[in-house]
Amino acid sequence: MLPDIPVSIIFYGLVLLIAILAVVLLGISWSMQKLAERYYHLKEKRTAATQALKHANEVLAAARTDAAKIVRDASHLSRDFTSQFDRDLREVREENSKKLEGLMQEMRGRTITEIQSVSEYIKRRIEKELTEASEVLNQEVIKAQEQIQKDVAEYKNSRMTTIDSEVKSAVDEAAQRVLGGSIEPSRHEELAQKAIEDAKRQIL
Amino acid sequence: MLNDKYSNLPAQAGLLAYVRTLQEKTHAIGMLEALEGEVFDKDFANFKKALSAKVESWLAEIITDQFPSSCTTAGEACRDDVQKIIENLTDALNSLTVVKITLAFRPTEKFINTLVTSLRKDFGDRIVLDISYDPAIIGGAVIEYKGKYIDNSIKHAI
Repeated sequence: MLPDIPVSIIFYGLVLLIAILAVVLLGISWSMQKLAERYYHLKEKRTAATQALKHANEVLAAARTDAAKIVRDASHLSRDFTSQFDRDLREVREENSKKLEGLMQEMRGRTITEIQSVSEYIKRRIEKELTEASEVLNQEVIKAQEQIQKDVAEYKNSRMTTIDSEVKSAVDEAAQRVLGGSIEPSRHEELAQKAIEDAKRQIL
Repeated sequence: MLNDKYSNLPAQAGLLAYVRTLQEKTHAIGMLEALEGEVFDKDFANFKKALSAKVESWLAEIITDQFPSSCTTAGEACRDDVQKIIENLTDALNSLTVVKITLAFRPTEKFINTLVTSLRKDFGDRIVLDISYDPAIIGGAVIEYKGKYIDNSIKHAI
């Protein structure tokens, strides 16, 4: 048996309930709006991360261009030059590595601060994406450094081959001038005969 | 068969005595070609005149020595025989193997003879030398024979 409740109480009670519900709905709506704002803000940050990655790639490309320029401009190689060349390349490499490292740290720090107030799910997701981006960036850095080292090694080999050939030519020329001119005709004949006898043994 | 008749020319030994180098071989072939033209273009009676005019005496002697005895006065009848003699001598020259030798000095005739004798002893009589001069090798010699290249020069040894 339900007690008799006056109609006016029921009416005002309902009005109160509706008012409370309206306030709750307003609160939820306000929270959703804030969450959505933060989400869009994070999206913007993610775009910023993508732009940072793009920038990092540009830095890497610039590093490679610098290295290629050093190689291209090198017209003469000496010991001094070789060490200067190595120093220049190391500087370019280190400078660009620092730039990249700074860029990544800045990106990570700023983004982590921003997402601290967001839900764990979004935080994890954004962090995962940042970690992946960071890995890609690291791979790119490693690849670029390897390519620079490879270019330098190739350049060194090529220059060393040229130097070997130049040194050999110089030695040959000197030997031809010093030895060739000083060998008596009879000695020339002896040497030639000996060379031919040796060749006959090799052939037969 | 004229080819068989002249294929073992004893004259080849004499030929090789005069043809030691590639240059001498080319010269001898040139003389034989000039003589062959005479055989076709003129009466055989004039051949002996052409022989003394177109070829050096050593080669003329080698050819004359090969004339059949019946051919001394027979004129036209000997044309084929002479033609075959020339062909066989040309073939003999063309079949010689070239040994290419690079030296750092210009060899004397005496030294070329020494080399030819020495090489024919080991490689057989049927070779000629193609001698070139290259002071850049400094000394010794570079030899090419039947596709083999042997660099025994001082430059290579340095």
